[in-house]
Amino acid sequence: MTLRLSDLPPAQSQALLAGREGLRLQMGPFTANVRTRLDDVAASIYRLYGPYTLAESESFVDFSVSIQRPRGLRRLWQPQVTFALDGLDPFNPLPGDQGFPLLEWGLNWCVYSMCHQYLILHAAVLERHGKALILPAPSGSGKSTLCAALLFHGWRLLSDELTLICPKTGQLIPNPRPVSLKNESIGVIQQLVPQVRFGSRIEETTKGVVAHFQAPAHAVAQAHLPAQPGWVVLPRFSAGAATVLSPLERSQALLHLAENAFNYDIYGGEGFDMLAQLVDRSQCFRFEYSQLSEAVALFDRIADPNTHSLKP
Amino acid sequence: MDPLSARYLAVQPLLLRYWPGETTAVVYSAETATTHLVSAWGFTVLDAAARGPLSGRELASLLEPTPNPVDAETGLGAVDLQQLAESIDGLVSAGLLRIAA
Repeated sequence: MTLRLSDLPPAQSQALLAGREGLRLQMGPFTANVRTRLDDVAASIYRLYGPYTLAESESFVDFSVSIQRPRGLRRLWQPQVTFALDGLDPFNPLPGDQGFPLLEWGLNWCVYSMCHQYLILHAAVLERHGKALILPAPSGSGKSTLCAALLFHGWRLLSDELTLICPKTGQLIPNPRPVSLKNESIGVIQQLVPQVRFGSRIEETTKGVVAHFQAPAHAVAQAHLPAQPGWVVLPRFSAGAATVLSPLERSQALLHLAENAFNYDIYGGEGFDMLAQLVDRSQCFRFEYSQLSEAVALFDRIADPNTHSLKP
Repeated sequence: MDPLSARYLAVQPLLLRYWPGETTAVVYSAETATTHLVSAWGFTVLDAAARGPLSGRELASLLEPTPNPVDAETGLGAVDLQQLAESIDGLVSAGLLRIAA
């Protein structure tokens, strides 16, 4: 029988997180063992990972991570948090209220720095009708906001940060996790989708204000279903801009994907061939927008198999 | 050195991808593990020079295969020689094309 985190009472979840064994969560193709004694982090995990399957206690663990307070007197007047992987701290400590974002950033780091069984891109990826929409873009481009809006309008979340490409099949592998939003995007999505389940709002991180919301339960439940390449779209939010979708040459799309890949250098020529096949099977565009409602409507038309013209 | 009289060879191994109708192509050099965006023109040069050393004049003739009025001084067709020289120079600078011994 499949047991989800939300099937446990909060106190049991917290006890597992605080215990020696930890809490084993299935996150797409990965299993993470998480430990923390921090109440706020445990509460956020329970709130945002509710739909996730608990892995068997004997199952293989890809990452064994923890969020804890560093030792030392400093914790008495300026508490901090650290992320540890297998007992090692790869990052500097962060202010004490940033435990959950640190866990998320740390888990992302685990995936892109160790999981080289996939070619990994820094890009959001969503699915509709079996086809994947890949949104590679730097921070501040409006990628996360667009991704968040689309996943509440018929698109399935595969990931808001990491696109995993299977070298054998060229398919996009889901790894849905809580979605990170920053600054103004938080209010925009709260207004657009009031029912969304947000975690704590964390002020004054290095990225500004950060808040995560729970990945839709259907996306978590379908995390075993990969998608075929469908579209590569380079989004750019520009205040006041008209909604403009313009064709992008496949060669330029490939170069952009290569520049946004974490482990392209490890794959070498094979990585080049994988990206060439991906763009070969995709329609490629640049996309500028300022109005989310127009963007959502346009992507509806992109995904419609009967659409022949993609002019906004 | 006159770029048209020198002989050129593409570095190996080189992976080339060009989608018909596009103005650019992509090239992966395994020697330097780098990916480059090149013009469609540059793609044609690299594709030809990957099969064996070719002079700049031979590359020019490959780029302009149809009969054209021949320039009496250079013996070449109406291909843009300046563009060819710049393209060759750019590909050499990028480490994708080398002057053959």
